[in-house]
Amino acid sequence: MAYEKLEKEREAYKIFARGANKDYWAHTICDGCYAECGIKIRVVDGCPVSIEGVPESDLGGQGGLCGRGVATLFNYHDPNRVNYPLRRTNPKKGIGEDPKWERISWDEALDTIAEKVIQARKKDPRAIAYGGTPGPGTGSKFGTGFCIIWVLAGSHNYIMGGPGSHCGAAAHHGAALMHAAWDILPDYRYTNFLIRAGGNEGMGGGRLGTISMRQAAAARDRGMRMVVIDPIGYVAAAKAIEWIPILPGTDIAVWLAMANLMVNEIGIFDAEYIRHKTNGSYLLGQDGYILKDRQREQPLLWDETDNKAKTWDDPTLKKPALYGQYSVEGMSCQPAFHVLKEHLKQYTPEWASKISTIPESKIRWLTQELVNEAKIGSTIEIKGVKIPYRPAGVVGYKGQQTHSNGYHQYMSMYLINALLGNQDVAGGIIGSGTVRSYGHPLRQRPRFEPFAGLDGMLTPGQWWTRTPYPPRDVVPDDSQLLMNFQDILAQSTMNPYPYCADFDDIWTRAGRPYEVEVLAQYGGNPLMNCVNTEVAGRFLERIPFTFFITPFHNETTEGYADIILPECHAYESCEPFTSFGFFFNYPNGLDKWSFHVRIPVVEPKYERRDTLNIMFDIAERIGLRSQYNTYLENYFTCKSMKWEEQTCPTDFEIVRPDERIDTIELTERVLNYNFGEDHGLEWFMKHGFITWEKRPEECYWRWFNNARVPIFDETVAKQKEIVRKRAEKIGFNINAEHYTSFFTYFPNCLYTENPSESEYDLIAISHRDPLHTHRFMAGNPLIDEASRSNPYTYNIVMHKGTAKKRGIGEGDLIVVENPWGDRVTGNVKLTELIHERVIGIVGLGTWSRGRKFEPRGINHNQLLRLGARYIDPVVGAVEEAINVKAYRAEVSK
Amino acid sequence: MRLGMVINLVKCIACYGCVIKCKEEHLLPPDMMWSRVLISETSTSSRITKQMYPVLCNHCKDPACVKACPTGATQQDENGIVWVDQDKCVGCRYCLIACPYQVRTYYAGEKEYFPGQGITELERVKRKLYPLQTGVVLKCTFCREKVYEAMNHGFKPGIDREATPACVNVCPTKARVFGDLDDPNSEVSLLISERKAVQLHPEYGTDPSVYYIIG
Repeated sequence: MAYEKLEKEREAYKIFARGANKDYWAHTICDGCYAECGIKIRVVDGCPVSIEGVPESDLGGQGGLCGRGVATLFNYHDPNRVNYPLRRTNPKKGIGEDPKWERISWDEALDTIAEKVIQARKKDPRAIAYGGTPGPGTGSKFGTGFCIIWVLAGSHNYIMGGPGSHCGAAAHHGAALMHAAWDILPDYRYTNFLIRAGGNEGMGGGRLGTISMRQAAAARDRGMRMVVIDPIGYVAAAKAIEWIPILPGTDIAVWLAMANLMVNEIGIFDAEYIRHKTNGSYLLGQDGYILKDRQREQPLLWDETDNKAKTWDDPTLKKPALYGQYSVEGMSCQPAFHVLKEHLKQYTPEWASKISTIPESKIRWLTQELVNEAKIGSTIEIKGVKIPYRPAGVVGYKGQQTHSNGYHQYMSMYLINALLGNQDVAGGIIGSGTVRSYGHPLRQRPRFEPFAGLDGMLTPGQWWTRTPYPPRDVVPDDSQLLMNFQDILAQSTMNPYPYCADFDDIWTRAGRPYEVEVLAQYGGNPLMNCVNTEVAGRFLERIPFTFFITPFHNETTEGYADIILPECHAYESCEPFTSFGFFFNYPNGLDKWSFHVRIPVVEPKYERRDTLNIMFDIAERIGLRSQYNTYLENYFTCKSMKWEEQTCPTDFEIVRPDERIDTIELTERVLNYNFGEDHGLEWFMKHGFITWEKRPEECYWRWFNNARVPIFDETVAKQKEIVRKRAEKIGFNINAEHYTSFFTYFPNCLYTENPSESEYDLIAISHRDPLHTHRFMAGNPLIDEASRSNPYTYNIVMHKGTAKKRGIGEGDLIVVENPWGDRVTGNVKLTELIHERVIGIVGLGTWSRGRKFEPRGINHNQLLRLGARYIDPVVGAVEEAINVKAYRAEVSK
Repeated sequence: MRLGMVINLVKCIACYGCVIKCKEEHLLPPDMMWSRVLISETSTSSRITKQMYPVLCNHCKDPACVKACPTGATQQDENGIVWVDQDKCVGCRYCLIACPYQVRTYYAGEKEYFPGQGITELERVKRKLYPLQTGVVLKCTFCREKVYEAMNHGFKPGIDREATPACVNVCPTKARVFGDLDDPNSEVSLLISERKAVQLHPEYGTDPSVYYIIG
């Protein structure tokens, strides 16, 4: 039986066929990565034939588009798309099992899912686990459209697997605390000197894709200098004035040594910034915690002008002290910065050099360059507004944060920027995508901004996943145990659990309070994207019911999915999520606001459906439609853009709880709400996008906001004992020592978990290739062809000297093996642009029969087993590097 | 008019936008590239650097391929574009050997983009829009058909998007500039003089129309 509603639903899509027009260009949003650039697509006889950027828009390459974006045309036309709801008929699950798909009706698929979800929810809402990935091109739709329904169902078992934990567990947490943003980017328009450590944004990497590419290129062309610190000298290094190799996961030592040099030796840092924009001027009592006033429970500072203690928000506060010993109501106290200054003294450049292998002279040179170039104290006038001008900074991303010491490492990097006073000011490091908006001039919408929350600390104005601040408490007992252990790791928004080698043992020790009954998955490929397939497979295999919403088959759907719901390709899709929220796609810095909409360029074919229509149907069937509508109302009106806390508004302006609208109607209403009744889908189909000037106070908002950022985070320290107690009880063997206020050196597990004399003397890293900022394009023939032409993409990259010592030559087939005996095999590409102890692998490899593609590249994740000692104990970032040995395949064993 | 291109290597990040757009624009068959990126390393005693050179047909002023062509299929037009008249090409491939830059390709026959799964709608529709003959030599045309049609409508090469090759328009870093090398005030001419742009392998003596800004 065909899905009876489908034909009716499709009626609304007829407008996207553009009537009798047989050759037209249609505007939509790219789905090549989560950067979501505005694009237009030429359609001839109903067939999308060409993709271009939009010259007049700042959301993208101003007419340019990257190779991935162009190649998405072949994703749309991929004959391996999922066209109908499918049910697995082979009861056997496992790696490479043929699912023997059988086509079923939408009603049957949705009824089955609803029945399983309702049953699981009755047993225990936590028995519903959910995951996925913000891609391809789905951006915040994953969190706001898909995950939210399971949150509303009462489950916090958000098990992202790889895409989250390999992504920004520490980066997003840190960016939220420091910038109220999802991530950071340099203010390329004004910056002059940049240290980039671990990340390729602007050089083909993910963050704001082509926006960063064109901004960074223009900056280089006008003379911006960039130094790259990275184990591998790849694209970013090719564009740098100097590449400095470093041992993976040791950047933390360099940052702390640089902070020490700035504060204790050179003596140049932005004291005004520390005083007024950080908690460095908060007074710490003898217990090391913030001293608060008795009545209002607000942090106290010492005002040097009046010589007395005042709260952070006291309007008479003039010059908060950074140094000294004070007494407040008989209690001895010190400004936090004073304590930090002492704390940093242990981190000498000599010491950092030994750990990182970066010469001491380089550390000193880099620090001196930063403080010279930052022009501390200077201002610039932009559009008539005076803004602090700090054209230097440090920036990193995945390579910086995907480590077992990721939290302290990333926060130490931020400490450098805080000392330079460059956060969210001209030329400095700014929150990616602009986190403050006065809205479009007509209706002042969308409107959002960060604010001073608990203890005066910076709190994001909107968020699309579990909110990072104010901090959550650790649950004191096992009553709410989650499979991602986020009830223990309260600061972790994303981590690799339960896809870890030690999960099952921990779960058994915890008494197996429940098992996953339903796994709801939106895109994503946890079998391949997280960890060794055997480890991931072991978990997936035990789940009695797994369903996917996806346009494509992959290794996980093949091995483990029971039902697949066919999702529209982005270019057949109509939804407001992709346009909304600064997380992925608002033009950076002073670039104009440019609001594009994902509008179908053609009608959807077969029985593929829009995600939101599917979610509406699921919500209806499991009795959550009203709550789901309320969330959408809250999110798209910016009334409460929070995942966990849903308040019911008194006036509904977009959608009432009892309404039964579809995704097209919702998109129309969101557009009307923000830009006026005459700016609906029809207007956007005709004009493509709406753009307006950004004000300097929006992108350089820091000094127009009274919030402060942490140069220490006592939340973490205060959780130490309860985290330790809870983790120990179930044998969750994390290192609770990381729970400390001041950003502190902790050695990476690469150097502690394996004996230094071990035969596993090399370190394998997974670096990012511009064509593969995610691996979901691995089955695209254009991407594949370009990748084959680049010797660094599908091969294993190894240092010439290291190879020679092992008798390995250019092109040799080698085996890379971890201490557990997991192996990957590939051909060697020799280079001098990699640290001698490091092996570089672009995390690829694909073999699903659903994509009918020859295996390409190598799957780095195969070398990861993960576990409590291989994640960051605070934010849950995975350790993506791994100790390995490498030998020629011919002489194996 | 002598049409030419300047590629600014300070801006280029080897994103393969030009490579892939060229394939999409003309729906080049699988395994055929008119635009490529060459990646290599050079090391001196003080520094090791990565080199990333996007390359395409140089549309040389004194092209070796034209001289080598026995049928007159490969020719140079009045604006300096070197092109192949597919009707005249017999597929002898002398030009492939003659071209010192190795930017020519031979098209043996149509292949599927998704092997074994048939021709997609895209391949069917687009091949009609951009016909290619088999058994001939093909190469970068500077998007000649599109550029000339636009010029006939008054658009200016390199200034108007309509009269500019696809690889230039697609470049997300704006590393590529197209225009008239004979016009001393064109952007390409100014960039060549101000930024000291160079030709690749000038010693081949063919006087390429594609220039590179190195630093």
